[in-house]
Amino acid sequence: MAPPKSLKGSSSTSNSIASGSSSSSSAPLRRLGSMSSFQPSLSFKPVPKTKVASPSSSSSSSGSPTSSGVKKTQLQHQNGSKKEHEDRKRMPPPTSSFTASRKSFSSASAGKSPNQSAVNRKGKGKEKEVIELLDDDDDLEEGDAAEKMSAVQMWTELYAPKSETELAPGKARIQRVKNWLHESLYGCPFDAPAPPRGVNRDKIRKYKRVLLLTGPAGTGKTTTVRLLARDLGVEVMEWGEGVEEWSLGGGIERESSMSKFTSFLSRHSFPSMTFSPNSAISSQTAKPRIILLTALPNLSHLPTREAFHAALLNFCQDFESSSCPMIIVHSDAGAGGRAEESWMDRERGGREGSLEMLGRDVKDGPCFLPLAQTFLTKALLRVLQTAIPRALDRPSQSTVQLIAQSSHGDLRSAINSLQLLCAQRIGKCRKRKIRDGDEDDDDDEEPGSKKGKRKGAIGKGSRGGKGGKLDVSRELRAVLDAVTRKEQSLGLFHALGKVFYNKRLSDPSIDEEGEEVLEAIRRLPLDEPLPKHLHHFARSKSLTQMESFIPSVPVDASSFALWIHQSFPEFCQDIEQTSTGLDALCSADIMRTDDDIWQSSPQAIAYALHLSIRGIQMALPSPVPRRSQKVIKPQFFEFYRQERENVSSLDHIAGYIAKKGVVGSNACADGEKEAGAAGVWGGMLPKRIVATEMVPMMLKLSSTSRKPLLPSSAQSLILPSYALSADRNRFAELTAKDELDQDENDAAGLVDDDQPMHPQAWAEDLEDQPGEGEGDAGDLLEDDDIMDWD
Amino acid sequence: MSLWVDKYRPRTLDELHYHADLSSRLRSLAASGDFPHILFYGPSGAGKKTRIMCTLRELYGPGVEKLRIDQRVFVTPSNRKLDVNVVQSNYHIELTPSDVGIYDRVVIQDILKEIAQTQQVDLNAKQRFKVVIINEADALTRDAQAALRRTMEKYMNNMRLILCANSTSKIIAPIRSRCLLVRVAAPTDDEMTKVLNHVAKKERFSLPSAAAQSILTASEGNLRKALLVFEAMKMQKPDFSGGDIEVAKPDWETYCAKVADSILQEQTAQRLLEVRGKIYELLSHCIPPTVVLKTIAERIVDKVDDALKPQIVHWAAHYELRMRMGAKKIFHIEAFIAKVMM
Repeated sequence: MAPPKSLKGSSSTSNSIASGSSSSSSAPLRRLGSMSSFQPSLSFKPVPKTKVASPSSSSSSSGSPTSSGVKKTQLQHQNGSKKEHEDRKRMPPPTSSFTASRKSFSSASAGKSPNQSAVNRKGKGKEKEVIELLDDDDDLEEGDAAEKMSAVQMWTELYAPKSETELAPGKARIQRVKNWLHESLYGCPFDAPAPPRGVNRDKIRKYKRVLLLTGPAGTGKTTTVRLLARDLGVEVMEWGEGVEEWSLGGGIERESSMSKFTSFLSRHSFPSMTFSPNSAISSQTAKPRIILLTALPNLSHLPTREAFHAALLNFCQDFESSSCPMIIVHSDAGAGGRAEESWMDRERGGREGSLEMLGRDVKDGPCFLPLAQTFLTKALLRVLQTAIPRALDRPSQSTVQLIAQSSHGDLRSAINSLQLLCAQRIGKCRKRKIRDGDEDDDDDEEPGSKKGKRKGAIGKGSRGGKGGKLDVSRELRAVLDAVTRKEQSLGLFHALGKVFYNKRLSDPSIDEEGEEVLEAIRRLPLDEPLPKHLHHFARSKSLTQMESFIPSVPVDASSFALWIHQSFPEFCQDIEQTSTGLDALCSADIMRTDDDIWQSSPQAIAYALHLSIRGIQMALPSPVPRRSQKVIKPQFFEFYRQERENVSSLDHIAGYIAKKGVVGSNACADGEKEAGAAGVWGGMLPKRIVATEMVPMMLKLSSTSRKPLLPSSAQSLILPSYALSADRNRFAELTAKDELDQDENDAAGLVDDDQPMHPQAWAEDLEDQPGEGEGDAGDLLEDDDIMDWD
Repeated sequence: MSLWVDKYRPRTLDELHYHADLSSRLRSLAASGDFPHILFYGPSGAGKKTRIMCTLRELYGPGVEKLRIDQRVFVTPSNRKLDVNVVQSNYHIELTPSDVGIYDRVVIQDILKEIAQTQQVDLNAKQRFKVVIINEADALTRDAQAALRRTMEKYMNNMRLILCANSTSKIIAPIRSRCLLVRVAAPTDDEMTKVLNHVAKKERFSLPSAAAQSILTASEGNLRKALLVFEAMKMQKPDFSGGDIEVAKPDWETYCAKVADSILQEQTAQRLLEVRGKIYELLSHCIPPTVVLKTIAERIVDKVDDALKPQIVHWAAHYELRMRMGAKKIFHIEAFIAKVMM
């Protein structure tokens, strides 16, 4: 395996080759690049000619070890630039070289074999993290260069879709993007015949300036745009956050990223200039161009956001027939998986928020949802088919499905884990050949496998969580646990079960537990006995290992508290226990608010989760009596939605009352004193009074007198009649059977935290989940995706 | 048709039925030509707003009743748009900034600045200044109150403030000291009976004293509520006949009472779950959680032994405090109920 240093070296070589200069001049060029105001634009001159990789470079790159040696000596020669290289080592490789490689790859994809090496070499910088994971297999792979290549190159790039049909997102969505692209470039949808040239064209184009593609990471947004652009013969100018210049060190005067952005826009919003005198003709022949924005500036900083909006607005207003459209790709990845008040965030932000973030003038494009499992599996199988020619070598179908499941709709991460998995298998096969080991590949319980053991406890939990029907060995799971980037989450049902059943070491039914877990618990040091006055707090050891359990809670802290709150009274034996538990939930709730004290503390949410789980376990009896309690979806979401509806109708009513008062008051002022029919009151009432005093009584009055006092929307404010013991069955029960879907839904809820799902929508999602099998995962998607099924 | 509450609302200071002292004081204030900032405070339904409107009429004449209602849009620093309903005449403007929650400061600043910077255009106006009425002044955030304090001094030339609040305790001291405090106490039973009889006379029927008494107990010094209940009763039973007069209470009050009764009947986790649904129902119908907690607690206190009463009140206070700090109101109400059940 090549050491990281050589990786860096080779990536910088690639850069220099791409810009058409010899490798010896790479250092000065690099410095130039870092000084230039906008680095990506520099290196992102489209390089269709990379196909013709110079023989010298390909030879130097095909065997990395030698090339690294060469590179090293070169480095030593260039004393001046050495420091800079050292600096570069500490940070991720520049996006510029990465995107360049990708571009060159996609343009060169027709003839693959000759230039694959060149591409491989370039992709390496990106892969560093994965390579390090792989390094146990180093020594084994040394011999086979070809195999190594296929393992080292990222599959996500190597087997990126090459035609529209291979794209993973739903067809309708792709079609929308395509139509938009076409309209913005040529003024008509893709399918429609081109209208006659003239003003007509620009009329549509004028309003199709900016497209916003949103969706969680790894759903193929950027890939779609790139591929469509290639198909339409469009040149893509990309802006992404490159390496921050200040981190490159030095007292170079730096430009703020915003001013870079504006200058980038002004430079690139028109097709490249040609020097022919009659520019009118040349602009016809020049390739059309789109601007692709993959990284946004720090928009939470207000001045930056304003500047950004201004730049966008400017861009939208300066329209000429030759100017080009912009596509903004924004993955809402940031918030995913963090335990925070996600539904509160959604309430505040949501889609509205993301639009607001980008300014009002942005057309809201299709939102890419997390991919459904079937789509993922399909895409993964496609990759596998091209990646591993022999069917025997491929991992089993169920493995692929498992990967698809655990990736939470993130295709990129799914492919990455697939690749790593295959690399492991190849390595393992060879190991076994050397040791003359046994044949069976998939099901061995290799005793020496460290990973299997280390991950044992978690592996067990996640097997439950993922609905362990799939027949995949434990070791494979362990590998997956190690591979998948996102933390494995327990299914909600199991997480709640762990809390509610409150298993402790002294339970009589303890034998059901896995011996492994028990062993782990027993090995923990004994607690010191509590002093007398605290004696009632004594509990025997819990079988829930908080440290591994809490990070695996699948929903955010406050939703989890709601789930607990909804069902836990059933698990209590008496009301004292319930009360203690509720107290814990209350205290946790206080921590979660935007109070001055806690607002600044990121720990507060974690504390709250701990407090609610541990508090509940303290309160619950041990052992918990089993009387077929049900876990129920929190009523909170439903009532919250209702409340919001009612609040808005209350607003309406308040406005209505005020308006009537104003009318009446005016009538009085006009002297129709005895008109009497209208109200006289000319003021506003606080909403609290409207809700508690006016509306109930007015409803009563209008029901008896049958004279409409209030608009019809007030009907929703009537309380239903009071009846106990009703409607327990009304609420969806959460069972293990649903859990697979549940998992998917929750995953979606987690992954796309910023996605415009209001809490109601979220609640609906939970509610609408169908009872059966995994095929229903498509439920989360929109119609157009479901059409793709057949 | 209009409600009796509106129909028989006094429109001049002379028509007011009670607090005659206060009325004469307000009258002389309005006549003096030098009108201070005023903070009206007193319990709900005591007649604060009525007195404010009467005073305005005294200040500006009947022209102040020519109202219009506007929807203003304010933009917060974070670019959020807020819609606020504003009722105004040529002489005054009335707003409820607390409707927009934590953004009330923006509303206050914008509106006050706008009012303060425009001179009175009507040459025939009796006063040089305009009046700004701020409802629910005690629900304003600290920030908004601070903003108010500065503008109060700065724009004294063109503008007077009339604040309307339930209690002065949540209003910061600098504002209190800049205002003339006017307390509007709840009417006594006699005064309320007088008002009820006045209304009955206008509606041309007579109110039996037993019915009047039951209305008084139901309304707890809240004249608005008394009149609403009165009208509802009249609608249900036009002649007030029969011995047992059923007082028409708002639905949610009866609902809360039933919740309290169910709590007292049975103290199990199962019952708690049933009651939870009811609490959700109340909350989702826009009944403020504090009101729910208070009503239930009061009902329970009515029913239990004396020895338990202090404890119940203690826990009610404890959980109401926590509810104000917390986000999920249901947790706290339920914790209180569980505590009571213990």
